[in-house]
Amino acid sequence: MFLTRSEYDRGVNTFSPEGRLFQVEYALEAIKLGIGVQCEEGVVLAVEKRLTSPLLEPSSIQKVVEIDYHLICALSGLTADSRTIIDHARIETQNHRFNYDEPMGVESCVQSICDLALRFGENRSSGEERMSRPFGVALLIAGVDEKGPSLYYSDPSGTFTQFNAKAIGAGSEGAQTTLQEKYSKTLTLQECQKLALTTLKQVMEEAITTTNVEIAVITKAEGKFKIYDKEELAAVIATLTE
Amino acid sequence: MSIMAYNGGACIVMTGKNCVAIASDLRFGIQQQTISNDYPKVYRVNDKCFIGISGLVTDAQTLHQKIVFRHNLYKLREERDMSPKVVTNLIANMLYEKRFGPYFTEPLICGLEGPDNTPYISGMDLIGAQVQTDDFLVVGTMTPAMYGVCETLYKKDMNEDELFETISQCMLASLERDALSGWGAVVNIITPTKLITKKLIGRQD
Amino acid sequence: MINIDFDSLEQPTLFDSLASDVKYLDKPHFDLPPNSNPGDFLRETFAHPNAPKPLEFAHGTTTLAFVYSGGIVVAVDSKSTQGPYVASRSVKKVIEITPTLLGTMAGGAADCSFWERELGRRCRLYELRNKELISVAAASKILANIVYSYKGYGLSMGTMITGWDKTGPQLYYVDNDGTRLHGQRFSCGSGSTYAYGVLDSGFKWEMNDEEAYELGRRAVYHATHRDSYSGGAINVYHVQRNGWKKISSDDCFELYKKYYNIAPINKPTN
Repeated sequence: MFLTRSEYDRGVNTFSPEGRLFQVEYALEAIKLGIGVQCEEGVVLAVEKRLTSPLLEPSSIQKVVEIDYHLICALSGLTADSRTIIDHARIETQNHRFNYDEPMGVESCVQSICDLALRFGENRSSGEERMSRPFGVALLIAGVDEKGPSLYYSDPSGTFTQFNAKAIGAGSEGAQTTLQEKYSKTLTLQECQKLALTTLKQVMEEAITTTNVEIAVITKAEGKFKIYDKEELAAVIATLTE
Repeated sequence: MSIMAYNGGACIVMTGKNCVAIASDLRFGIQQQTISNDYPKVYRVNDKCFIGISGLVTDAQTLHQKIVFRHNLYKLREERDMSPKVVTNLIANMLYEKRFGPYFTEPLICGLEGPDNTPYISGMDLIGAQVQTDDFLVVGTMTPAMYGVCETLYKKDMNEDELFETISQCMLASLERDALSGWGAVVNIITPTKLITKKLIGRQD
Repeated sequence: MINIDFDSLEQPTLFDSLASDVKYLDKPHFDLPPNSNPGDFLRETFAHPNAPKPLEFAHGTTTLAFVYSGGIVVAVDSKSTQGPYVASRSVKKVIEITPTLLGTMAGGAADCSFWERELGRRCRLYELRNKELISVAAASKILANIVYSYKGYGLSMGTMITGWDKTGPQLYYVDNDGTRLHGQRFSCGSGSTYAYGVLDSGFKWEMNDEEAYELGRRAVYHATHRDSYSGGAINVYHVQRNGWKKISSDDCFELYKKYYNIAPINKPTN
C-alpha cells in the first residue's frame, strides 16, 4: 500500500508529493472491525472483540462505550487513545446539558470529537500539552436526537461522515460491500441487528460467540442506549443460524 | 426595613354611585412573622364615615383612639357627627402636630358627605398632606400592585353590589403580590341607608 | 530565512477553549472584579454611602427533608420574594440533580441552581467514568468543597442533598459557609423553625409513605402560614431505592380550604 514510503511518513504536518499524510494512514490501519447500521427505529452497533488469549477476561475489553444516555460509540484501534476522546465527548455532552438543559445533538457531539482529533497538527503554546501523532482510533458514533436516529463515522484525520451502514477497521472493505448489497432504508431494527451480525460473521476469523462480539442498540422510541448482556447476545446469535 | 412595613397591611377606598367602600386585609405581623390573621385596619368613626389606617400598628391604635376622643368632644359641642371632610381635616392637623416625630401611619378616609350623601374619599401621608380623589385611593406595603389592579378594574358610577365586587377583587388580587399583607380581608360598604360589612377568605400564606 | 513573529496576531481560538477543558472540569471560572480580594471589594463597594443597594436575594423559603423507614421525604414551598414583593408562587425549589439525587434550594436562587447543576454535571461524569453511581456522601462533599472554595465571595445557599446509594437513603445538609452535616431531619430557610416544630413533634421512624408525605406537607404548610416569605404551592418528593419520585404539588390555599373545611360561601346565585 505504501509504495511511496519515504521521509514523508515521519511528521504529521508534511504532505507527501501525492498529497498523503502517512501518519494518519498508519493510524487508520490500527483498527479492528466494527459495524453500524441505522434504520427508522434506531441504530445498531456490532463490534468484534479479538480475544488474543484464552486467559484474557472478555468483560475487561469494552468496545462500545457510553457517551451519554442518547449517544454511544463503537471504537476500533488503539483503545488507549479512545479514552481521551471518550472523556472529551463525555465532558462536552455534560457541558451541553449544564448550559442548555437538553441533550447534545449527535452531529454537534461528533463535531466536537473531530475538533479534538484534529489537534495533532497544532503547535501548542507554552505550557500546553502537545499531541505528537493523530489518534489511532476510528469511531462509529450512534445516537438519537430530535432529528431521529443517526450514525456517524469519524476517522483519525478528524473527518466525519454520516452513514446508513458502515463497517470500519481491518477487513472493512468486504464488509462494506456486503452492507451495500443488503441494506435498505426499510429495514426494521431486528433486521438491522441481523445484518450487522451476519456481516461481522463473514469477516471474522473465529466463530461468533457471546464473548467475542458486543452489540449495542439505541432506539428512537426510548431515546436511550442498551448494551446487550450474555442472554440477549445469545438470542441474537441464535437467529443467525435460522 | 422601613418602619411603615414593620407590621404589614393594606387598605383601599373606592367610590361608587351614592356609595363608598373601604377594604383592608386582616394580617397583623411583626416583620416576616404572622401574629394574627383577624386584624382589620378599618375603624368606624360614625355611620357615614369610616377610616382605614395602614402603617405601624401601635401608632394606628393611638391615632384611632385620639380620633374617637376628638369626635366625641365634637359631638358633645356640635350635637352632630363629623362629616368625612371634617374628619380628614382633623386627622391632617393631628398628624402635622407631630411634624418632627410623626405617627408612622397613612390614613384613608371615606364616607358620604353632606345632606346629598355625596361620596367622599381622601387620604394623606404620615405628616398630614391631604389628597382627595373621586375614584380610589390605596395605602399599604404593596401600593404599586394595588394601583395596578384598581386602575384596571375601576369603573365610574358602580352600584353597591358592583362596588363590593370590584373592591374585593382589587384587594384580593393585589394581596397576591404582597408578602406582608393578606390572610383574608374585610370590606365595608357605606350607603345612605345601610352599612354592609363582609369578610373575604384569602390565602393563608 | 526571515523569522516573522506571528504571535502578536494570534487570537484565542477554538483550540484554546478545547484545551481549557481540563481546567474547566476543576471549577467553572468567573469574571471577577480587577481586585485582589473580590469578597472585600464587594463589601466595600456596597458599604459606600452613594452605592446602589446591595444585591438582594430571595431569602424567604421553607424546605425540609427527613429520613424514615420508607426512604426520604423532601417537601418545599414555592414562593419567591424580593423584599415584600411576591415575585413568584411557582418556583421549583427541589432541584433534580440526577435521576437519583435531589437537592433543595434556599438562599440565592441563582447560586443554588447553578451550583447544583454543576454538581449534576460532575456526578454524571463520575458515573460515566467509574461505571457506578456516586454516593450521596461524595456528591455532597463535592458541593461543600465548591462553596468552601468561594468562601467570602458572598454565595448564599442552604441546601439538603439527598439520595439512595449503596449505603441506603442518605441526607446531607450543605450551606455556603462550607458546613456539611449528615443527619435524619433537616429544615432550611426563613420558615424552617416553624417547620421543625411540626416535623419534630410528628416524626416517627415507622411511617407508611402516605403518613410521611403528609407530615412533610403539613410541616411546610404551617410554616407558610406563619412565615410571610414562604408559601405558594407545596411540592413533595420521595427518595426511593431506585431514584426519586415527585409525589405532589398542592397550592397552600387549596390545602387551607381542605384542612379547615372551608367551602365558598357566596356561590353565584344565577
